[in-house]
Amino acid sequence: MATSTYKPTITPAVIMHRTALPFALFALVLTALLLVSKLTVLPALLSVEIAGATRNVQDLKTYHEVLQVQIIKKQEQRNQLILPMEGTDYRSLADWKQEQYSLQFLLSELSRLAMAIPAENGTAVYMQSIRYYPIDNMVEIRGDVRNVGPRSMTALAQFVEDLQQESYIQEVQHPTFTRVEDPELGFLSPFHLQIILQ
Amino acid sequence: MKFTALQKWLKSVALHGSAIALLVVSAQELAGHAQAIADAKEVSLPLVAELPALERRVTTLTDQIEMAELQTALRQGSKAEQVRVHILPDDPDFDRLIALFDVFREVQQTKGIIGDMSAIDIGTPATQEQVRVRPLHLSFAAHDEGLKTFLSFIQVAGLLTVGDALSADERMLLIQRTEEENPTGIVALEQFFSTDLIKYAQDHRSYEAQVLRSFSSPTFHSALRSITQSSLLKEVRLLFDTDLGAILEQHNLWPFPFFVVDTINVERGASPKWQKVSVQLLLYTRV
Repeated sequence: MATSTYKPTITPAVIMHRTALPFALFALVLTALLLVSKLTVLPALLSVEIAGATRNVQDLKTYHEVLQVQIIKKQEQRNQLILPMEGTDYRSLADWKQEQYSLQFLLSELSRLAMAIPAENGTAVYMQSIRYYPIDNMVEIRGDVRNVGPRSMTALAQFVEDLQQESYIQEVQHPTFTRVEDPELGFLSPFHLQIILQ
Repeated sequence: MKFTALQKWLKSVALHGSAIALLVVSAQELAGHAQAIADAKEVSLPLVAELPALERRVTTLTDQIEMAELQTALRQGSKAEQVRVHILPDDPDFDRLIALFDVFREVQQTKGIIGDMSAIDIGTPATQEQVRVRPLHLSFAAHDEGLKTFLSFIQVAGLLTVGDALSADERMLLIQRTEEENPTGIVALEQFFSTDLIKYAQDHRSYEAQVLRSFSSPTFHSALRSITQSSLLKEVRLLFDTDLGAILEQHNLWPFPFFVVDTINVERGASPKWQKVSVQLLLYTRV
């Protein structure tokens, strides 16, 4: 007795047909779950309660910015209250005056630098006059380098270099380096320096 | 029969197509979830750590504003009036200005640190934005000490209170220390800033003690001490805690009008430690 078995032909079209519905259902359920998660689970997990209100990341950023703006405004308001005449023309003028270098400071700094240049006797850098223009941030010094023998030009160059190293000085306009011989004082290097302050 | 096969094929293609579209949407949603979790880690956590401090700062500032408002209403009005009448008046009071320099010269000449002073040349005014500026020129001989005193005198001109004699950075340092240590101390600090400079100079220890009473930590004490020793306040004390301060008050010459140095020339004098000083000042008035 002959038996016959039915062997269906499994073609790609058959596979596609049989997997179509489960595949579509899987995709539908996955999408639905992710949407539900986005709308309910994620906000619940990632929100934080600050100052009695629940806030998400965006709300936190906004709240942070709002607080910073409030701090700046309140600081200005407080400063206006505790500093007399804050925000007026008078305050601007007084602060501008305070920002200028005082001549006392400049005199003591220039003397310190001048004294640092070694001399054979007395002072090497002799400052005859100092003219200060606070509004233009400029100082002019006239004088000479003496008491160092024929090294007067070197000592002057050293003084100029020392000035340039100072943090409050922006620029020193170089003097003409000359050496003259005075019958009483010996070798001299006269200078006229223009210093631009920071 | 062939028609049914085609229908089946079309149905499976449609289902596969829909499934793929839904998977694309799912992939986007998954990426969104991943981004949200990453944001929470990178943005939310630092913000959450920072927010309580910012909220405390807002509360502190609000309290300070309320306290300062109660204190300042009257004080500000009187300061503004002094500025309008004496410091930046509409018209300069030349009698008062000359008297001011006369008193200064007399006191310093008595001490022997300033020599003869020239008359004050008053130049033509020029208008700059919202102020009128008038040059004043004078020259005199001065000992090192006299020059130092004159420069302090010029530096103080136009300033009225302790707050005016401090730089913006020095004021902010004290305000920050107050916020950190005792926010209610802002009232004492406000009173200190509003203290009249000449009164401060004549009794500086008691004004400093008054503000220090509101702060117990050594940090504020050292900040205040350092500022009072290194700022213009030190020069103010040296200038006014003397006969000069008393005479200026007696002659009602305080506060000074607002003037600044335009040019100053210091030239070695004939005697050691003496200089020839020539100065051009700019006197400010309102337009």
